[in-house]
Amino acid sequence: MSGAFNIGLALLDRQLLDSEGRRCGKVDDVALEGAPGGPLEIVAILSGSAVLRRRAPIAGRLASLFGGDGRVRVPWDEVVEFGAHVKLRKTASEYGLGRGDDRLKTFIAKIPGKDR
Amino acid sequence: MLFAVSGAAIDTLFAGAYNLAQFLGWEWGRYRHPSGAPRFTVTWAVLLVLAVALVLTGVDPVQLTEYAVISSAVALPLTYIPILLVANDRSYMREYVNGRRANILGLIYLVVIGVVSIAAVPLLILTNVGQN
Repeated sequence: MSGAFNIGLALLDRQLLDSEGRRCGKVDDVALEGAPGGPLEIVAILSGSAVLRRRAPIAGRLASLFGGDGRVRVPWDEVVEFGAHVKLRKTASEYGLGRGDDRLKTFIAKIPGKDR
Repeated sequence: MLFAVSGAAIDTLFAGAYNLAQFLGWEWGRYRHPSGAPRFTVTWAVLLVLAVALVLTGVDPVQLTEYAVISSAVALPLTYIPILLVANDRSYMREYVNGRRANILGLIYLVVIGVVSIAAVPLLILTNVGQN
């Protein structure tokens, strides 16, 4: 995936979808590489409340309150497509994404009608 | 009356859960079932408990609603501007992306909303919550 685009408009805060279409976080930041004066290249997507907190302290704290203090780095090669959302190659659990939902699943499993 | 209140309660609980889940990128939606969207489910359940606790404090529900409506008027630009931005985002809207005419109308409406938002609290004080 190559070409120049505006990271702030086209990538940041977009919904992450895993290979099964599960929503598993947002693009909270990106890791860039490049020499001074040269073009920058995205090498990874960063997601999680610890990442968000650097950009938006209040929202980041809110996120860590509900979803734990996570920080996940997904290599850019794992991005299959991006537009309205960012689609990843593997499942969320393989990247360590969506752990907040996974933790609560055991609690929800005890509730009658959990699959209705 | 019961159905009207219940409908509004369900609507409000889900709106809160949708807002939080979509902002933070969690799985959301009733179609996913509780086991498919655990944090979304827990969020609306917690909001329900908080709402019941609030009602049980004995607060006047009509007055509370008046203040809530005025607060929502103050926050209107914060909900309207993101919608206007998304309406201009071709990756979301594709062929339905806003044109020049829609944007001009949208900006006029934004000014109206801005005036309402700024005027809401002074009017609340000046009119004694509409009692004058």
